[in-house]
Amino acid sequence: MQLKSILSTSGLLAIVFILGTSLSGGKKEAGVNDACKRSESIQAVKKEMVPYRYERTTTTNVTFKNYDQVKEVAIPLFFDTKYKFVVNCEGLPVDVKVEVYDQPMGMRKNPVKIMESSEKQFTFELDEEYLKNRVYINYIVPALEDTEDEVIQKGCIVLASGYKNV
Amino acid sequence: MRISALIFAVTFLFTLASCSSGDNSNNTVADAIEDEISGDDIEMEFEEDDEPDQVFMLPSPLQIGSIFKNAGLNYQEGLVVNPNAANNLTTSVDKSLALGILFADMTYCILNDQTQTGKEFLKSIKDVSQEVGMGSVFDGTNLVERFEANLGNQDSVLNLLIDIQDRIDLHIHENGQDEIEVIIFAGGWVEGMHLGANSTRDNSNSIPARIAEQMTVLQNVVGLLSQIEQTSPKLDELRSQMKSLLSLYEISEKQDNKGGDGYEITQAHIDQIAKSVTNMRNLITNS
Repeated sequence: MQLKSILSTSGLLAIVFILGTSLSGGKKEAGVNDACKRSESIQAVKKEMVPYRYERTTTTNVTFKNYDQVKEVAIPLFFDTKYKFVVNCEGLPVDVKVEVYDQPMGMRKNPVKIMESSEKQFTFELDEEYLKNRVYINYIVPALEDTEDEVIQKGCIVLASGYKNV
Repeated sequence: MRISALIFAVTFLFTLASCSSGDNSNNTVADAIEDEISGDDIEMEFEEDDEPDQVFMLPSPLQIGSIFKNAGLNYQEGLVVNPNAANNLTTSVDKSLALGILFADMTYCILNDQTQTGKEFLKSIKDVSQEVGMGSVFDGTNLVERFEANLGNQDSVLNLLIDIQDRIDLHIHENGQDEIEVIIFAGGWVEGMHLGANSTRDNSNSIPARIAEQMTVLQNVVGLLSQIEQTSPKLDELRSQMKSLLSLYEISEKQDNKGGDGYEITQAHIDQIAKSVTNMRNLITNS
């Protein structure tokens, strides 16, 4: 009898707690505004790959902070192969600058900046004249001021690679 | 007594729930809890971010296979593993390593018009994917049927391979399984090197140069494997063997006279690499 009453009380408490929680909106979590449109971005970069053979995409997730950030994608390259890269930044709430280097960030000595762009989508190619075995793509992510409602701004950048080695 | 306790509990729980919603119009308990959740804590939550500042774009098995193929790598009977090689493996990590081998061998078969064998690998890949929690990659896709329907058309089959790769990438991205991606890639890299290093006796091809340039990828793989948290005795041993191989490669590193990155690699190096990757491959596939 005692056990039965404990169980029924516990059950009632659980229901009350679930009701209370759901009515009040659950655990407080800061709001997130994720502008990432990965599928659409992938479709867009694939279209740009012609006449190279599309290889794959790499998605870089970005969480905006109240300070500038740099995200880097390092890509290995093989000799006698031509490459095409397409960078799509449409899944971001604000524009970013993209810079391409021959050396990794933090270890640069007389680096060569291969290109830079602030477009929503752009392409660049590397041919056999490029002698390094890696290329480094930097996303310069600007700071976003904290908002009163503490909404976290997120997004993503989609990078596609294609190659010709025939 | 029981009723008063229940009323207290209900009141307390509603208070907690209201507090967590940010409703400050309630009572002092809510205010006290609100005080506990200091601005710093909220800031920490905001700062939490497991996105790394640098990522490596790993080459696809198809690109590595195509490079070796164009360098003169031809199909050799007996070089690929048994398509059922992963059947006796038990852990998810070990199966993921084997999955990489299966991908590499399927690619090798398709690039060399051995599509019937390639199909056996695809079936096995489908099964192992299910076992490592990536079964949804194949859900509702009829990939095996589409593969069978295009057996005589290499280009269509290669497009299917790319489709599978995209689906895996999507699955990994959506489920935060970056570690599995690295583990699968490591297995695939070992197999690609096994195929290349064990078929270099013909001096007319440029496969040794292709093997040499895989150093770049090995550096990335070793770096990525050192960052992942998942583990198994096999994975630990593989890490160790890959680091040893990296040392061997570093001996051959050399800048060419145009200032480009390169390696000077001899047949003795190739033999050592072949022996090393064969050991790694046996480690992965032996149960």
